[in-house]
Amino acid sequence: MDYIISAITTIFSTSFVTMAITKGISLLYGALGEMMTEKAGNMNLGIPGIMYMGAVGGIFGAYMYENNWSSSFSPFLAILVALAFCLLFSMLGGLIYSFLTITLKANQNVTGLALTTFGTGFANFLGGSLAKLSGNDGLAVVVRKTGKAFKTTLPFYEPMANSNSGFLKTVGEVLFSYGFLTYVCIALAIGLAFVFNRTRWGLNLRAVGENPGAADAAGVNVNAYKYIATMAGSAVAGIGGMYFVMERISGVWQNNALGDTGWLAVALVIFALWRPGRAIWGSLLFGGLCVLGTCMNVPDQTKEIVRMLPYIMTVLVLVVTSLRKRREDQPPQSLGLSYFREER
Amino acid sequence: MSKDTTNTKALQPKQPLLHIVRRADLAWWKSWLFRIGAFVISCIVCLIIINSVTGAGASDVWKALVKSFIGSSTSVGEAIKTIQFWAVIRETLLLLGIALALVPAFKMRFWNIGARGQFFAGALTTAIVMKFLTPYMSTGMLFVTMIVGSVLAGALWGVIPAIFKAKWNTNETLFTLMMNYIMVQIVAYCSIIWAAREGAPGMGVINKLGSEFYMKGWFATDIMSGVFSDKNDMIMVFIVVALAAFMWVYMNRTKRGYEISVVGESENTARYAGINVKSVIIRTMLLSGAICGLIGFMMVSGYAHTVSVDTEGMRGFTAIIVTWLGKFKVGYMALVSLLLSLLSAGTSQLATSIGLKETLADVLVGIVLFFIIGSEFFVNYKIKFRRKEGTK
Repeated sequence: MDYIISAITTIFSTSFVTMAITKGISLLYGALGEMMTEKAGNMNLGIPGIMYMGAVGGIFGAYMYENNWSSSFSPFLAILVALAFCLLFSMLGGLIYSFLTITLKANQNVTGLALTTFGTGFANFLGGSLAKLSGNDGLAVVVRKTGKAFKTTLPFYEPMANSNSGFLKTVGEVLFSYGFLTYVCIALAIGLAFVFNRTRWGLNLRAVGENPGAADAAGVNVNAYKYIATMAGSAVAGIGGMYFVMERISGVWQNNALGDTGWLAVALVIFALWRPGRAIWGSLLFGGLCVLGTCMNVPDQTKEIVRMLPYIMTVLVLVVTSLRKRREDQPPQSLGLSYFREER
Repeated sequence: MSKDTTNTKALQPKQPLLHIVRRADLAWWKSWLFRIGAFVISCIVCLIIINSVTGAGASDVWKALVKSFIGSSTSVGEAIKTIQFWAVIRETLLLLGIALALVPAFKMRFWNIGARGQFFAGALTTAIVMKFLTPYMSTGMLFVTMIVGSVLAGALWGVIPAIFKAKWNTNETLFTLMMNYIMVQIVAYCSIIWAAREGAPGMGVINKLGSEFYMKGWFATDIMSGVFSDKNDMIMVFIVVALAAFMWVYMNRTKRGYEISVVGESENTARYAGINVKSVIIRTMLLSGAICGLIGFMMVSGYAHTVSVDTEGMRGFTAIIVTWLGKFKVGYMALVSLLLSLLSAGTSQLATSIGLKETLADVLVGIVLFFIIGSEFFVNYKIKFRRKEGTK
């Protein structure tokens, strides 16, 4: 009973809501990336690794910009450089995965897991090397300035936060206290929902994921769609990794900084039934469940149980959807299979 | 706009420059040439990376690798007594053991990526039995309880997704993946409530040396200590060899094993032949999970003597790669496991001897894996280039 009261009081605190949202958005980026990939029939279990690569890419770019490439700091350029390296690294991961599974038709699960091993190692290695360079006992890389630049809020947040009205303050804190990437992510989710369901391109993409043979016969370039979706998905997931280190932990890199964020993102895709719109509120729920334990004043062991909830809920959704057998709720039909035209 | 142009292009008959066909048959030595070639290239890439990071040459790397396997011994007799040798063997056995567990599931095309969770189920059960039942049991009973408990726990964790797969066709890849993380959280929970000290991660060494129940629940390590050292893992060798033999017989010489491969080839054929597909799926995952649990028992009882969220060390995922690259064949899988164990042991040795960062190990392992995974394409497919008119 005490736990329930504690949980309820926690949920209605603004600090909990803001933490849940920043955690949720990093999951949402990862989930949207994985969703794009899975819509094309590629089950990319390398997403956790790709998120690591994107995160360390952002840190690398920011570190280089802050320390080597500029005498005067421009927030705009810092964001640009960090973003560029984030995209470069995460798309490199996506390219490795795409080349192996699409062109060389390798097993997707095996390739994905190998990529996760590689990506995590790559990030920890590069991050660790930078930490050694920066002299923080080789433990952490700190790019506070860029982190702060990423957290630049919308112009009307300041007056709201400083206003006398408690209501305005709360609304400002809950809705407008985040950096631009937060809003980009929501817009991206809505945009993707539109693209998947309302455009020719999205229809073709879904056809590739459901039945590549039929899509090929209809004149869709299956491999091109798979490549584009996987690479774009990797880029989005990579941004999620960078968002995590820049926005959530304000520009600090440590080994294994992301924890199990990547796997939670994979879980979120299932939870959202491959729908970007559903993923938005799903990400808030997952983010909330993740930080609930941390925010609540409960013993450590209870926190571990709370952290189990997102996975249990994903299993429940998986089971319920397979019980109901509604066709629109199912995973893409050819998910996990590589396509070889001459073998149909 | 683009629609019309693509249509007219498609009408023009033109052979594509590259044409990929599946190979009907490739001589075994040729397929190994591809694999070894890929491995050699990946090694060269790794060497270049190591060289650019630390400046160490190939001979330094070779020395470190040798040292990681046999220490500084100079003869075979000495080498097999070194701690390094047995560390690599142990790692190989753990990977091979989990990979063996995955064979029946994968042959059935059931993507059990939940070995992590099933391993933990066995490991945690073993640790709990060791911690709480030691005072009430003789050593023999303790071992029986640990083995039965870990096998049951692993089987339970494996069969839950299988039941849903069999009855309602629930996606097993995603289900087993989630089961991993549920189990990790359970382990995290248990290692906090039964922490050795307040705030310590994990249960600490259970039944420590010198306590009243000296070594209870631990494997003896001094078997054949005359030949090897007293730090060898011969019991693990016996267990895994027995498992491998069992798995070979089960898959190749029994009706049940045959049923598994029929279900894997085509569920419809299996149904037509009167095989009860549902019971095959459930039965096979019981077996797969049970063996994962047994390996968890082996790890805790034979080596770790404790359990924490780090005990499994991602071996469940690595074993998936081992099974796949080993083509479900025991010999190949043993080779791949040995290779991966050597790589990780070698890179940690490099860390101490030439100042390479230990975190680079995963990068190097990843690169080697990418190349070997990629080489399978050239084993299975042939690239034909466009020929000129009239030539054959």
